[in-house]
Amino acid sequence: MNNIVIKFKGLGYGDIFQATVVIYDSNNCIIYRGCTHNAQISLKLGFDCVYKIYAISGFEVIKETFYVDKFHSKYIFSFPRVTIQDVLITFLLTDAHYDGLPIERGDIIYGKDS
Amino acid sequence: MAKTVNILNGTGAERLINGVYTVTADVTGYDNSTINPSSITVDQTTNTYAFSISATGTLTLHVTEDGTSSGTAVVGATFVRCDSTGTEYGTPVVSDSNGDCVFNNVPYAASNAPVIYYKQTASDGEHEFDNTLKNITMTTSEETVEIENSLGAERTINLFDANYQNLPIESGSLTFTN
Repeated sequence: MNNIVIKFKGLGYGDIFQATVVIYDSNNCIIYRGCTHNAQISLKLGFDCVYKIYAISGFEVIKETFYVDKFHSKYIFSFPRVTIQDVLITFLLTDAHYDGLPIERGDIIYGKDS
Repeated sequence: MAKTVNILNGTGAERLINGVYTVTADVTGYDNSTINPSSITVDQTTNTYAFSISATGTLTLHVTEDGTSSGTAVVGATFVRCDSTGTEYGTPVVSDSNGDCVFNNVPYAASNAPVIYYKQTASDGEHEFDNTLKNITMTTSEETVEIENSLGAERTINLFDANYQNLPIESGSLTFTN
C-alpha cells in the first residue's frame, strides 16, 4: 500500500465546491468514503490493483474504474462543469442617483451562497 | 470564500461559475451598505451584471454675479453631473432664489475621495457663465463652491435704413435669440 493522491478538476473557481468520494476495491468493498479538501483526497492504495471511484459534487457525478500502478502516485478526475460554467462575468457599477454615472474606482466583493 | 472584483470607470470582470452570490462593496466615498443588488444568481444566460451604489454628501454651487458668498444671487443657472470626459448624467439642477444649486447624494471621504465632475450648461440669459468641465473632491459631507456668473456687458446696437446710408430708425425693436 502506498500513498496516492486523487485530484478533482471542475470544482469551480478556487475549488470552491467539495466532492463526496467513495472508492471500492475489486471486491466491491468500500475502502474509502470522505470529502475532498482543496479538491483532492489522499489515501493508501495497493499497486497493480483496480478500483472503482464514485464522486459527486452538486449534480455532477464521476463514476469510473481506474488502475493503480507503481509508476504514478497521483490520479486526476474531472467534473464536467469546468468546461461549461467558469465564464468571464462583467460587473457594472454606477451611481444610484445619477443614472449611468460610472463609479471611477472601488471593489465589489462576492461570496458564493450555493 | 470571498473574492474581489476591482472596478475601474464603472466596470470590472471576473471568471465565475454558476451559482448564487452575496455581494458587498468597498467604494471610498459611498455608503457601501447601499450596494444594489446585494445578491445575484449567475447563470449561463447572462454574462453582465449591473450594480448601483449611493452616496450621502451634499454639494452646493452658490451662483452670484461676483462669485462671493455675499454677491447678488443668480437665479436659473443650470448645472449637471459629469464623468471625467464631460459626458452628462442625471437630472440637471437649477439655482434657486438664493443662487443655490444643490447636488444631493454625492460622494465624500476624509481621504482618497472620488472626484466629482460637473459643468454649467445655462444661466438665466442675462449673465455670462463658464461651461468648461469643473471638478472637486469633498472631504466633508457638505461643501459649497462659489460660482461667478457676471452680468452681461451693455452693448450698443445701431439700426439704420438699408437704402439711406446712416439714417437711423427712429423706433422699433430687435430680438436676439441664441
